[in-house]
Amino acid sequence: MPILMKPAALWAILAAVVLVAIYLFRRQAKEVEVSSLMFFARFRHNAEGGSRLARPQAPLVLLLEIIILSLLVVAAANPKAVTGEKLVPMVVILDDSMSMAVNEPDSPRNAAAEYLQTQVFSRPECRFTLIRTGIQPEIIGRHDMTGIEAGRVIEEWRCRAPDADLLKAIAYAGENFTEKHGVLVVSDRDHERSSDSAIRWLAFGRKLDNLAVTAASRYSTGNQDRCYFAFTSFASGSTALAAEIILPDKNEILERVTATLRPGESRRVRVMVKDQNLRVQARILNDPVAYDNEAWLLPVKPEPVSVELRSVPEFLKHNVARAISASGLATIVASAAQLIVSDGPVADLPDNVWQLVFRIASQPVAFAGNVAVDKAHPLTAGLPGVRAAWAVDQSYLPPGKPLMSVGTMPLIAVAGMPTQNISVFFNLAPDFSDLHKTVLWPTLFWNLLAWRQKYNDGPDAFNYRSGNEITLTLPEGSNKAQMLDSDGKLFDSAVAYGRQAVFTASTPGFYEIGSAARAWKIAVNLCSASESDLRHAVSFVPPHVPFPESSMQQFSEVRWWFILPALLLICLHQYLTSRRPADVFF
Amino acid sequence: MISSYKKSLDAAEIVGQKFFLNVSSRFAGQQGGSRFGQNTGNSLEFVDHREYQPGDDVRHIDWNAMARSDRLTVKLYREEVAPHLDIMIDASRSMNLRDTTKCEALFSLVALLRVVAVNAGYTVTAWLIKDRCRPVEPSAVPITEWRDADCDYSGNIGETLVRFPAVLRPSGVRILVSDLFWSHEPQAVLRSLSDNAAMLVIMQLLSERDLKPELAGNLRLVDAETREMLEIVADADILRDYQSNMTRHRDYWKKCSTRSGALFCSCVAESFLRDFIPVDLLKNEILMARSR
Repeated sequence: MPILMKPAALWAILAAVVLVAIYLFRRQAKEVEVSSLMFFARFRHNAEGGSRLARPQAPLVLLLEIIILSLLVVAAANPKAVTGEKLVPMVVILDDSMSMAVNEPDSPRNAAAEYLQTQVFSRPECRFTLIRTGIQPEIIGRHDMTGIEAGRVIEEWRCRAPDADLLKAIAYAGENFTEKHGVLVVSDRDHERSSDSAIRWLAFGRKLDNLAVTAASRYSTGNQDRCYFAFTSFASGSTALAAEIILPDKNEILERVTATLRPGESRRVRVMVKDQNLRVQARILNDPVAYDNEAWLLPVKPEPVSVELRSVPEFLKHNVARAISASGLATIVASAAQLIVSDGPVADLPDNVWQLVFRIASQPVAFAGNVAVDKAHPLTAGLPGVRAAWAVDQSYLPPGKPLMSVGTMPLIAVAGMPTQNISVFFNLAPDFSDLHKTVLWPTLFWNLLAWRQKYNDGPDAFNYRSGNEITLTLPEGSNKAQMLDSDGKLFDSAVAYGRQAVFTASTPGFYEIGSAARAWKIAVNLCSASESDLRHAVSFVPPHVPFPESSMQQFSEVRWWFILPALLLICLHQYLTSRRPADVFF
Repeated sequence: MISSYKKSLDAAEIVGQKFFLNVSSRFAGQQGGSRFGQNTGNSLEFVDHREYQPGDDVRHIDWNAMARSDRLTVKLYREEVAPHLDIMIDASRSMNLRDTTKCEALFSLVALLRVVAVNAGYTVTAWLIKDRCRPVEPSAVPITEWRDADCDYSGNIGETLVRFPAVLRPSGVRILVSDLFWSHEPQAVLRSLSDNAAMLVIMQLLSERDLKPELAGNLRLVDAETREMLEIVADADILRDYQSNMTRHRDYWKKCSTRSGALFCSCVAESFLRDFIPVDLLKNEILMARSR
């Protein structure tokens, strides 16, 4: 049964309606009786047979024309069907991680590509589907390509991913292809043991001693930034490390790092950067394997959250202001705030404005006992276990989801959506509590402000480890964002879900992500111990690839199934409608 | 149906009284008859003497004259003829074409021929040609009373004439009145009709619509005989081709008639019904005006 590759062409069958209309219209001809039709011989279309056959001939011709039209329409829809040709289907999984590009041009990637071209893609009976495997597997080219097509498509295999999840790719192949497909995995690592005989593993790796920057982070401590780097040895023996941490914008060395590292040992370095607007770079100076020898940390400049203290009792106001100030994440403003702190719910809260509501009881009661905390929530995550006196209004039942409660009495509850409005309810009588004297108080505020800050316009961070997700909160009114590489070329684009767009930091480098008129620079560092560790790289290349015994039937174009009968019917049509020899004796 | 043509039939008969069928020279050599012919023959009425010529009947040698003049002299007598006319009528549907006077003209012409033949002392047999050639019995009755005299045959007249020929009287004059719109080789038809005939006249009777059809636009042409249909968009090309085909058809019939010793005449129904004078027959002296 043929499958139509372009079923939209079937709309052309509507032409049959026009054909029928033409026939109906033609049947409206005026009837004129003549003595004989013999002198109209040249114009005769009906075959001999007299009046009994003349009438059904027009519908017969019409029927023929409709059949011809239908056959041609089906042919135009590019029908394909299973034909007798037997082909061997192969899925080739390509490790797209950066370790495959080590030591260009003698890289595992180039060796693998050459092997595939000569040993695999040269098999005419095979059809190939290429899966490039980085963080996520993705098919490059189309399904079931010929060797020549696959040889062209393999140029898109560039090995720029921070990791290659080959198991996920194998699972993907198992789910999406039939058991007839042989699976060929091309990597630089030792092959995964599998009982599935359909999976063949080719490894082109080479063991190398390597030093790598395996961690890099930067955060603000108020008036200066703290930077953290980790240098790790992936050598087979003790190796000397020579590295430096510099401010490239000022061409100033912050710290030189020299050490002798045992296999697998890391050297962690922390430096303080006073000028928070400068970039920081860590680089290893004595390692020939270059792709993991440096890391960049860009300035961390989140916008502070603006907080308005509205109708808060003086005592509470003082403690709230202190906690906000201590967080370093917010500034107190008189109006147009992103977070409103008050002793009662604010009516008509504008979009993207959050509120922290204190329910101050006039007749509070005190509870003693264990407190239940939702530690998965960003507001209550990481709260330390301390004792505190917490007086509440027993009659108050705050709306939303309780995050902290004692017995059945909610202490903290949250309602709303982060991308719109969040209302945080504190059931707290401050005069009768000592919460503000405990470490819980600044922690809760820091959590709240950090949570709110995540929903300010811009990325959730400025320095990423490759493979991480980059979450960008879009400016008001914008619904898409784009990611440009260091050359200004479009690297990725994303459509907003709510107010946020998500990218994947796949390839190390500098990027600019922006939306509407705003843009932010970010850095993506490799920082992948598994990708830097080349001690487990192996080479396993059989002289001949054992191809699977199984085969599949090829779907071939079968237009001729329809065009040929159409041509025959056209001949029959022509025969029926052509003039017959004249009866006149001249 | 024919009764509706009574007026035309009467008029044709009246006009026919002015003419007679002039084909007596064709009956030379016949033995006996009820009328004298134009030539010498075997009757008892003496005409003249003349010198013997090789081939003369030795029974007519005037032995007395020979004894007197010593010259071989023969007696000449007037010939005696018994003329007969067979009128072959094409009774196919095309002779009764809708919205034309073809059928009326056909029977008017037959009426006229009957009268002119009788004026010349002929006996007349009319034949209706359908699937068989059937004589109208008795031929002397008025045409309006002829039985089964409708032009309703849908078959091939030519085929009937060849396969089922009429048993015609030998040495008679035969006139076929038809539009000749049938597909059969004329030679065969003419051979069948002219066999043992004193004379054969092919009279093609057409309507003006046959000669010059007024066709225009999107038409479904219906063959009057076969009811076969043809859809055309009539334009000048089609009409020109039609005229050309018909002219060639008629010319071919003329040519075959000449070869067979037959005379080909034609008549347009509408013209004939205006004055009931078959011009072509007069031109060819088949009909002659009677002296008053």
